[in-house]
Amino acid sequence: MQEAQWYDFEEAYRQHGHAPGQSSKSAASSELRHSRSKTSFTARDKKIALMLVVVIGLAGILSIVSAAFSATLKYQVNTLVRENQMLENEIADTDIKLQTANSITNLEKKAKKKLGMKYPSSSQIVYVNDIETPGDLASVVSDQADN
Amino acid sequence: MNKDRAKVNQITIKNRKRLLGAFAFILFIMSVLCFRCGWWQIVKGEELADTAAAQQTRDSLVEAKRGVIYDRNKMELAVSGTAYSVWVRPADLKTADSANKKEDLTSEVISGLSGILEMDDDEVRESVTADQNLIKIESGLSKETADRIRELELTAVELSEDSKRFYPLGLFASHLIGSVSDDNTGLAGIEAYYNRYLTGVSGRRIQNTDVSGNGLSYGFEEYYAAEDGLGVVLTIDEVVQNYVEKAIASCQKKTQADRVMCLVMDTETAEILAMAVTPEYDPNNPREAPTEAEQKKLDSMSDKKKVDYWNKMWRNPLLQDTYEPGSTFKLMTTTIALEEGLTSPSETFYDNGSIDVSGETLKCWSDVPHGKQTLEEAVGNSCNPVFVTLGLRIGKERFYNYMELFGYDSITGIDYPSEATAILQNEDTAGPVDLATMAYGHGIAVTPIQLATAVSAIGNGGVMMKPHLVKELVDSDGKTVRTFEPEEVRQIISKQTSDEVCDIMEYVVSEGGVETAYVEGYRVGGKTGTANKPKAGGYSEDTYSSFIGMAPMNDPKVTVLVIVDSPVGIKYGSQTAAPCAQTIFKNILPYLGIETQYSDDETEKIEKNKTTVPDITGLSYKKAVSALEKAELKYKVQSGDSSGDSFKVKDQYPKAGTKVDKKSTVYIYGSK
Repeated sequence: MQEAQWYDFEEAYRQHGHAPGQSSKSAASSELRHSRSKTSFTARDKKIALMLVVVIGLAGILSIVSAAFSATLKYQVNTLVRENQMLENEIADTDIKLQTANSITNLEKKAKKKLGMKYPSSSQIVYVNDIETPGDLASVVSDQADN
Repeated sequence: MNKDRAKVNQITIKNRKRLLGAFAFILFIMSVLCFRCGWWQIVKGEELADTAAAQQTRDSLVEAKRGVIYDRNKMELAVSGTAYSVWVRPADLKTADSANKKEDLTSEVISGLSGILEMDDDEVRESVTADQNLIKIESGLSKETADRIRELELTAVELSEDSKRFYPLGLFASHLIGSVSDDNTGLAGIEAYYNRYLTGVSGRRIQNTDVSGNGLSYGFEEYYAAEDGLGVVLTIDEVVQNYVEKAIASCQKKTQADRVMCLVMDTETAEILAMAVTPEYDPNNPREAPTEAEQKKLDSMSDKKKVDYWNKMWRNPLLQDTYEPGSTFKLMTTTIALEEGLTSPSETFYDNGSIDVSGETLKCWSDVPHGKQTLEEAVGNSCNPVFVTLGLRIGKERFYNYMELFGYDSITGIDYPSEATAILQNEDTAGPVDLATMAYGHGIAVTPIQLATAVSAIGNGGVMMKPHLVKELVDSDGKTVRTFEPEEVRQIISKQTSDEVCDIMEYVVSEGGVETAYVEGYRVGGKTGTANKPKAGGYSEDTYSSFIGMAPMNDPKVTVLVIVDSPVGIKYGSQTAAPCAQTIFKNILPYLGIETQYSDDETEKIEKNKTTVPDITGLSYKKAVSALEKAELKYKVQSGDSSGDSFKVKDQYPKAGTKVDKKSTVYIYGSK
């Protein structure tokens, strides 16, 4: 009897690598485990790894690009702020030139020389201090408008 | 076949070994790099972050805009603008490759800058080759000049922006407004007195910047806005100031005086409407002398003498210097005597040319004695012995009490730096002769503002007001932040005395010998004074000739004080200062809306000088001209060909029936 079983075991071992009576599933899984312990990298793993590399790479590139973009924007903003300041200064300077041109001495010179104007004599001046003004100007104006 | 397989196997193994070797090498390099990266990021990381923060963080001041100085009608008299400075970095020029290139660059810079800035080549060369990192060549440049320099794109030349004070009206109220130093701090005048309101509060900006000062996108920024300075609204009226400056400039020319100064004050509120001294300086260039001749003198002075000259130029004598008022001070003596009931306007005095006081003879200014005269006439004659009499009646104690009441023992408190006060003789040591001389305005020195304030009090019903130069403070939007209302100091004399003195002052101008101050149609009153200027050990021949007046005398609205310093030739106040005051009154009274009040005689005179414009419409040229000449009028053809036969007058100005002065012009508009 032992002789016959041993011969069976030998056959089973040669074919499947396990003793007869053990399930083929467990035999298969033990085979897999055996095969896995030999090589740990399957095609699926490769795919995942590659995708990860691509994603990380893309993320890295994106962060660099956005930093560069924001730096460019900030530079443009700084330039515009500077230009704005220069324009404001120019406006202030032009205002000053305007004031100088409108100074009373200049106006008097132009009025006298260019336009031939003269100061009025005392008899040519009419004083409006004592002229009667209507009490309620608004109602007078609205009356006129209605007519 | 087995041999081939073995060969292939050997090659494969060799390749695999090489591959492994390369991999190991790259792995080694990468590990070294990773290790290095780790070293910088982790081990040195904190230290480097601190250094970066220190280098990139810029903590800069945000300059506050200096407040504007306005006149009472919000015309801008002093504003802040931008000016540019040009700098050179000599070190950058020296780092050129070869000696030739260095010299070329340097010459380029020198010729470029000296051409635009109109400087000497040698002067520029000295700065450009100096042993300094950074040197300023010129400051206060306009934008056009800065742009021209920028266009040249010179090596080692940089431009920077600064804030600069501008005075758009130039030579205008310069002694009043003052000027600022290079770092925009008030040096003199209103700029100095109100400096802390005008300056504002600087802001602050803390941010991460690159080497050029531009903000970084990932850095932080904290900004504290600056508080701009408040605007100062003066009581000065630009128009009145202009009239005054013109009048005193013309007066200086006529009298060839050293200086002419004038103060115009609102009698009722003591607001200063105008304050001017000739010669003026340009506050835009406060270190430049007013004339070329003076500038030459200034250039040859030592630094210390230059500083003395500038301080003298900037000094405002109306507020910071004293002078002997002379006969204008007799108004004080008259007022005190009337108030104390020691005299009356109708009291008569007798002058025989001199008066004895404690054994000393004090003579009148006039060689011819005035004889019998009322108090009014005595003021008009400016008769010294009469005032000595009044002064002795008042007595020393009462006199000094009134000096205190009139404000001569202290400053007026006007808002201006370094105000001077009067110099009175010591009460304890003053004797009868001192009192006598003070009574007619000698042996006493007052500031012009003190005299004007005291006389305004007389015209204001006896109420003394505190003089001031500023009406209100406004913010940068123009909203009023603080108002300075007129302040009553005290009642010095009664209304009755005030009226009596005003009548006397009006008499002086209308009949009492100062008709040179009279303005037709207005009731002007005043008093002249001519006092010799003191010099070491006595008095010189030069005089302070002055006139103080008010108008209209029935209700004084404006007080004018004119002082002529050392006129040449005729020195009397009535011939030098009074005509100047007349011009000023003539111009400013209509402007201030003070109506004319013609006397009956004046009205008659004016009516006599008027004519009615005839109706010349439809007439030929000849007939129109004849009608106008009959009416004693001049004419001017504005349109149409008057030489043509078919010329007919279509319109005229003034219109027919208008009453105009004789010899005025009628404008003719004709057909072709």
